Amino acid sequence: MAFQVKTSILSNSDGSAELIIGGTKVLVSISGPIEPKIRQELPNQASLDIIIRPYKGLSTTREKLLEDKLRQLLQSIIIRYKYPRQLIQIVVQFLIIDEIEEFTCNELNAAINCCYFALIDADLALYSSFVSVVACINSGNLLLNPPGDILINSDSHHVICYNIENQKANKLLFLESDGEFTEETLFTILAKTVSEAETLHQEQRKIIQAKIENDYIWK
Amino acid sequence: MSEAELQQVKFPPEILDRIAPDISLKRHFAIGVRPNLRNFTEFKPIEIANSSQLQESNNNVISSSIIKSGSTTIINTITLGIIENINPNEEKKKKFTTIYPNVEILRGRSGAPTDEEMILSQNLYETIYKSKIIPSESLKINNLGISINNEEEEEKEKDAKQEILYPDLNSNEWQYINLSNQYNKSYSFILLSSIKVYSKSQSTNSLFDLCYLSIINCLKNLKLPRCYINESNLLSTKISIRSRKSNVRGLINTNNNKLNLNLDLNRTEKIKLNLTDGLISSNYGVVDIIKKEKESESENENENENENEKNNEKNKLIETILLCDLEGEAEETSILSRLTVITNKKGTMNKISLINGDLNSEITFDILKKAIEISQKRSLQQGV
Repeated sequence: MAFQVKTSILSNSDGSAELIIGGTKVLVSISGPIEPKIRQELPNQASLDIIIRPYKGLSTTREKLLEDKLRQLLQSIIIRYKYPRQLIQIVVQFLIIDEIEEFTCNELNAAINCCYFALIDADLALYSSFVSVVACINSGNLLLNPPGDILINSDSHHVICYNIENQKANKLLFLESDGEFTEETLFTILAKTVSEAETLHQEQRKIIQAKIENDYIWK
Repeated sequence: MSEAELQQVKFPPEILDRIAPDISLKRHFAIGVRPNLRNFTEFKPIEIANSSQLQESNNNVISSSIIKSGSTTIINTITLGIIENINPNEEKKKKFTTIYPNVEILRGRSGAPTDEEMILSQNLYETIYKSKIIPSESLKINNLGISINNEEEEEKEKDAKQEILYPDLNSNEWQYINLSNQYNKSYSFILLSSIKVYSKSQSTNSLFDLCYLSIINCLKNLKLPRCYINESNLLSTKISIRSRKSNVRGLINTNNNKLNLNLDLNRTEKIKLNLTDGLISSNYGVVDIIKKEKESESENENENENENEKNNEKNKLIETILLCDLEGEAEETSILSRLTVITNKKGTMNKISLINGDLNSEITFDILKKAIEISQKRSLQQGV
C-alpha cells in the first residue's frame, strides 16, 4: 500500500505533513521546540503535547486514548534531551477515516506514519526512523491495511510499529493487538510484517529524498 | 581560610522514591529486590470478594464486584440503561456490543475526570468490544411484558393489584391482548459500569488489569431482569377499553412511554455471553539491571589503570529482566518499556499492548514470548 504524502503544507507551523494511506487521510502539524507553559516544563528534556482532532465533532475519550498511545511511542523516538525546558506540540487532524467508532487501528497507523514525515519536516532530532503497519486476520488470512468493513468482522487486528536502523526493521517499538489470536499467529504476523515495513521504509526514503531535493532547490 | 563543608543529605527510601525514582529503583535492583519487595516475576495477590450485598441493597445495581489487591480496592457496580433500536438494520451489522465503564480514581478531590481515568475507561470499553464477549443479541429485550390491573382483585381491595403478563410465560392470556405500536418497538439494554478505585498504589497498567478483572467478574454473575410496559401506554389493548369504568387507573400509571424493570429476582435471566474461561490481564515492565560479577578475574594488581577500567566495564553484566505487575512511584515513572497481555484458558490471547519506551531496555521477541508464557500459566491458575 502506497503512501501519498505532502510535506510543508502549513506555512505557520514548524513542520507539517499530509498523508493518505488506504481510506484514511490525516494532517499533522508540529510546533516546536517552543516555550512551554510552566506546568508542562521539564527541567532536563522536552515535553510533548499531543492533540488529536477527530474527522468530525469534538475530541472525546476515544481521542484521549489515541493521544496516549501516540505519546508513548513518540516520546521514546524524539531525542528529548536535545530540547530541555521546551515543548513540542503535535496536532493530528483526521480528514477522512475508514472505520467505525470502536476501532482506531487505521487511524493510529496513519497518525504514526504521518508523524514521521512531519517530524522530519520540523527538523526534530530522532533516534531512528520508524514505520507502522496495520494487519488483520480475516478467516485465517493475513491482510495488510484492511478497509473498515473487513475490520469489523476480522478475528484479530494488529498495529505494529518498527524501528528502522540501517534500512532494517530490527526492533519492535509498538504493538497493539486486539481480537482473538494465538501466539503462533502473532509471531507469523510479526515475521511477515517485517518485510512490509522495510519496503515501506524504502518508500519513505524516496519521499524524503524528493522532499530534500525540493527544499534545497536554490543550491 | 575557612572551608565550607557540604553536608551529605540523607533521604529515607520513600522520599527518595518520590524525588529520584530512577536512583531509588537502581539501588533496589543493586541489592536484588524490587521497591515493593516482590520477586521479579511475582504478581501482587488479588482478593475477590464473594458477596452480593450491593445488588441486594440497591435495586438498580444488577451485578457487582469488589476486588482488593494490597491497599487498592476496586468497587465495580453494573447498572442498566435501555435504548430503543431506531435503525434495526444498522444494529444487525454490529454483532457484538460492549460495556460503558466509568473509572473513578478517588484521591480525595473532586473535579473533571483526569486523563488517566478517561484513558482507562476508554481502553476497557474498546478491549471488551474487540474481545467479542457480549453479543448484541444477548442484550436485546425479547418478550417485553405488559402490566395490567387485575379488575377482579381491584374490587376487593382498594389498591389495584398489578399483574405482569409476558408473551412467553403467559401465552394463554397473551392472545387476548392487542398490541400497539409502542409494543412493536425494539429495545436493548446497555450495561453501565461504575468503577471506583480507592487508595491507588498500582501503576496505570496494573489498574487496567484489576478493572478488567472486575468487569469480567461482574459479567459472569450478571442476570438481566425482565421488562414491561404499563397498560396505559397501550391504547388499543383490550384492557384499556375496560378502563373506562374507573377513573383511578389514570393516576396509577403515570410513567407514560417508559419501560419498567421487573425486579423480581425469580424472573431474571442469566446473560448469554461469549466468555472464555480464565480471562486475565497481566502487565509487565522490562528493565536493564547491572550485575557486577566475575570479580575474581582482576587479581593482578600490577595491571595499569586503563586495563582495570576496561575490566570493570566487562565485569558489568547488563541483564534485561522482566518485572510482573508494576507498582509504586519508582516503577511507574522509570520503567517505560511495558507490556499488557490478556490471555485465557483456551491458550489464545485477546489483547497485547506493547510499548518499547526505553531504547536501552528493549522488549525482544524472546521476552515477549516469556511474558506470554507467564500470562498463560497465570490464566490457568488464577483466571476467572
